[in-house]
Amino acid sequence: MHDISLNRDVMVIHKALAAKNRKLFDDNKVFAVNIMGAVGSGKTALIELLCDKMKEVKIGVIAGDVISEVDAKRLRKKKKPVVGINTGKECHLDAHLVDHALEKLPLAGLDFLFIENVGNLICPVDFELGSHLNVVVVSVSEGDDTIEKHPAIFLTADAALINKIDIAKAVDANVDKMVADAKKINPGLQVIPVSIKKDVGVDDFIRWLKDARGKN
Amino acid sequence: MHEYGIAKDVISHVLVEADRYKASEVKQIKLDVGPLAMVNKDQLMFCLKAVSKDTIAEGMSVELGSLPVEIICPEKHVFQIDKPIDDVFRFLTSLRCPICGDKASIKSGREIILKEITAI
Ligand SMILES: Nc1nc2c(ncn2[C@@H]2O[C@H](COP(=O)(O)OP(=O)(O)OP(=O)(O)O)[C@@H](O)[C@H]2O)c(=O)[nH]1
Ligand SMILES: [Mg+2]
Ligand SMILES: [Zn+2]
Repeated sequence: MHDISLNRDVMVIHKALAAKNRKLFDDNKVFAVNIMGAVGSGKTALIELLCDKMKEVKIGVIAGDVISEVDAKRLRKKKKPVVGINTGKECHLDAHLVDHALEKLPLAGLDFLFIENVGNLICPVDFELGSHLNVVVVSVSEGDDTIEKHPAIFLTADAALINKIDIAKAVDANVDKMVADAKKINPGLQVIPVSIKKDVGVDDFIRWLKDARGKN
Repeated sequence: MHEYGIAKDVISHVLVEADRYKASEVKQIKLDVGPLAMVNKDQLMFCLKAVSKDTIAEGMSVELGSLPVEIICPEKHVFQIDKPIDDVFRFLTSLRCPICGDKASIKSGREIILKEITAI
């Protein structure tokens, strides 16, 4: 009979890999942004618009998807280096998958790396990727109680974009309530209501992104 | 469902350790899950069972324990929250240091600790 006493945090391997990714980003002077949010909240649309609007910087993209290459294909149309990763059974990206994606994505010369996480508001929380910033995209069409129902992701995020405000009236969502909920959970969170479709508020987000990069 | 990935990590640690002791069967593991790890315990148990199938850990019993939640403020005061966290939201909104009143952040409570393995 063996009583093996371990007291080992099984998540440490992810943390170590996240630290390795971060070092790679820093060595290459790339500012990495993890973009999380529910299915259909507007993550790909955001990255597409950032590619269009941030012409003066060099952008690379990692597109996480459960099984398809749909988002990676959409983003390749922006003529930027894009690597797609499939998570298969998993519902989130982890540092290990990002580590593999980085083998295929030369970081040298890039200014920003946008990582589209798999559509999910719950699981990505526990899995650090090594990114400098964590951004959540929620949309008013998920219901204006979605933030208070999923507080954990907002606690660990640096910014929250409340998207699709152009249809807030139509879906009977109170954007002010969503902003207040997010601020209540995390007073330090940068909360920006946006319409990615109509390009409203996205300039504020870009300003904040560049500012955060400058401070890094 | 991130319980699947966690179960895979746990079982791989268990099998590596069991192998190190040349064990032929894993009888029991003790696993402590922090309340803030956002793990559904039933799903985790189910996934542990599924992932350990056809390994020497198949059929083992799993003793799930919990871990304390600690918060830390900018002044480095550490404070343990010992209330049961049934309402995570209410808890998160009151993350203030009880000593200086400053805004505190989570120090621990998200870990998943493989405490002990019993094998033969
Ligand atoms: N009305 C409106 N629709 C939007 C807005 N932003 C995105 N959409 C639409 O929302 C849908 C989903 O957008 P995506 O960018 O594919 O969402 P996603 O988060 O990448 O989705 P997954 O990758 O599947 O998780 C698309 O049909 C977009 O056109 C917006 O600001 N307003
Ligand atoms: Mg997408
Ligand atoms: Zn204090």
